[in-house]
Amino acid sequence: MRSVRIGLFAASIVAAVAVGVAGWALWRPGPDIETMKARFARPEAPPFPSGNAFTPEKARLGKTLFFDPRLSGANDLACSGCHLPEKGWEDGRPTAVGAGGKAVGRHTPTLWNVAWGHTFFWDGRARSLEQQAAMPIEAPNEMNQPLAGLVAELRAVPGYRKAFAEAFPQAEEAVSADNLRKAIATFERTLVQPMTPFDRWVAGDAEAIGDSARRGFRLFNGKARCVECHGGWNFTNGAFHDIGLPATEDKGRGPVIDVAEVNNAFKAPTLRDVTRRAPYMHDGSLPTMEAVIAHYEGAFARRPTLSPDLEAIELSGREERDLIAFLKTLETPATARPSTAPELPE
Amino acid sequence: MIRPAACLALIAVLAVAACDGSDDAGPPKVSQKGKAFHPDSLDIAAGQTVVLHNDDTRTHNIRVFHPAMDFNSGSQKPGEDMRLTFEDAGTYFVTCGIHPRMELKVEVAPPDGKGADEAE
Repeated sequence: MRSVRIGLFAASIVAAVAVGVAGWALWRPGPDIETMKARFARPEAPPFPSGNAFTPEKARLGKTLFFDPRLSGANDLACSGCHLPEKGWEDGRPTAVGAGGKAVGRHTPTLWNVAWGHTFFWDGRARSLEQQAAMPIEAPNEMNQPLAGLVAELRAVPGYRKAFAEAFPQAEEAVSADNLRKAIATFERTLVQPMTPFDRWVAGDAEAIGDSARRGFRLFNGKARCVECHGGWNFTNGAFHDIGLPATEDKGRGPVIDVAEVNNAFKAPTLRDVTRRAPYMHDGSLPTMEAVIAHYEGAFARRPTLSPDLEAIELSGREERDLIAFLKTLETPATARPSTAPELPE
Repeated sequence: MIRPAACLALIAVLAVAACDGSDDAGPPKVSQKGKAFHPDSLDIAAGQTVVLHNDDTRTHNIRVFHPAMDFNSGSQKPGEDMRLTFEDAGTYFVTCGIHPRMELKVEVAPPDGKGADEAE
């Protein structure tokens, strides 16, 4: 009899706890708007590694190299051929076009705020910008230029000899592959997106964004679940996810780290300037923001590698418009867009 | 009627269930939960082993990039332990290859008590 009573008592405790937890979950309010905004406050300046500190000379040289088509094997394609400043450092194509005018398998990623990146490329195979900088130059299907040949070519240009010597005054031989990587990486770290209407709103300008965008911000942090992968001031957690796009031979992160569970997974990109950077996804397969939302509303492939962070969302037509209105507040203002290409040395 | 002793026993059981299961006599344990390491820094001595437990609901991939240790755990599924032994003094950063913002800083002191920097 006593054991029955104890059993009933224990069961009633379990039931009370369960009801309490469920009640709390239903009652618990979400974070207030100021708390949410605080999570998106911009840092003051980009970080530079101790092994490649910022200097204006290095950044200037890196910019010149970035815009120079002589960095490609056929002298016809610069880094800026795919990373166009006027297109949010992308190219507007579904996938990039490399050497010989042939399509590269993946969409060109933006370079906004790469100084804060942990890994680079859609599959994260480069762990620093210095490592990343030379890889498209050497890739046969991109710029197709071995570095040794490129260095010899640059040494033959007086203007480059001078610019490298100014950027690396301590170096015995300033024009080198390592210094080319460092200069391009330094320039890339300066590509910090200018203040957007959203940033001004976070900083205290209550009128910087409209009502629809404010509702969209709440959706972004709540019902639309965007913040799961695109949280923080740069709108990415840098993690790798299979989001259920059509499977291809390109397995993304899985082969890079030898973990089959992340086959089909690619890095969550920043959403800054996103409404100026269509088409979308690593394969450029979704042409509009509306198509992206439809994808997350359940138009994705269910398979074992699908990200555990991905659940189908459900938004009304008005909510979709609000979400897009919010994303548009992340656009670089027309007056703050990057300047034109530099003059190339002879 | 439940007796006070039974209540105390119930409380003790709940307390044990609520703790993290660490054992003072065993190697330091680090939990991975919510895409973060807990704790996110450790001070140990050279030769010591750290147990990394995946308390998350997702697969992790433990990575260490250091001149003295280039480590790739492969797939670490929820509930699995991974043991890492730090043989050499120095400062190590343990990350996840799937969630690169996860970072565990491990300061490894030499066995004779010299500072990690002196030993490097």
